[in-house]
Amino acid sequence: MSNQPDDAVRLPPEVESQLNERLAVWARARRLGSADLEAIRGLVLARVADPLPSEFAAQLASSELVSSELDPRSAFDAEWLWSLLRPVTALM
Amino acid sequence: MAPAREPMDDRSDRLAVFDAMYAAHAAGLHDYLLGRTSDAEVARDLLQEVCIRLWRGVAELRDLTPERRRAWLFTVARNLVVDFYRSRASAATAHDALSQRVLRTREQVAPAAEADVIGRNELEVLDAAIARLPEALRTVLVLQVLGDRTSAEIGELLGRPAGTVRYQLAQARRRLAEELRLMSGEEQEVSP
Repeated sequence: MSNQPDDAVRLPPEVESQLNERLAVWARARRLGSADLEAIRGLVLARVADPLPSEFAAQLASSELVSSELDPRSAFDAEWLWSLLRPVTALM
Repeated sequence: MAPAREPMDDRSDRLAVFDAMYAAHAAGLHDYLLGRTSDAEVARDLLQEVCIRLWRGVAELRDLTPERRRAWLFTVARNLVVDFYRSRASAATAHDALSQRVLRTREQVAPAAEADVIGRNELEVLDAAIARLPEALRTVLVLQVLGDRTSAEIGELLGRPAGTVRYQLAQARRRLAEELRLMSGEEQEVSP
């Protein structure tokens, strides 16, 4: 018997055989096949082809939906509000 | 006088370098990530992230030696694994989540052909047993089992001496055999 330091962790031959068989089953299920690798490659290339956030921001800034003008009547105007309420108060 | 290297702004140039590195290292990176995380879905997600960083850095990587390129990729992978663990409460939480997922999957198995059920359960048993190995042992075992890599090749990937890898592989196999109850002569029951 050899005096190699890993003697203590060596397995009996029948156990080695059983373990190899079960690991082979696991490896067949968990190993990435060529189809898996191609699919992941496709996902990566699709993600890096997305438009940059700055490009999207530039498109959004030019959109007509964004208005920098405020309705002048949106600010609080007491006279304007009173003009709306005057007819109501006349009926009270 | 040699011409200056052209800047890589042509997508086809980038793609050629990317594809060459992807072909050379994607499978090994996946096996490494699976060994570190013991989660097949997480390993694929992290592989995508490594490859996105590869794409972004391909202009700088093209001038490196193959060894430096490999080292760069596995450093990125290692850092992503660290980030992955940080996003979890603890490694024990990740292990518990995997165990819970294995148990939930077992409960949700619909009636199917007996052979299919046994096949799925065997995979779950092996997943769980391998996940319970210490991370260092699990990583060398997965790299060896999935890629038929030698101890020297695994040592190069992980920055360890080949002798250390051989010992870790022997330890991993022994502990896995104990997990699967092969040592006592009683195989672990595979319950449906």
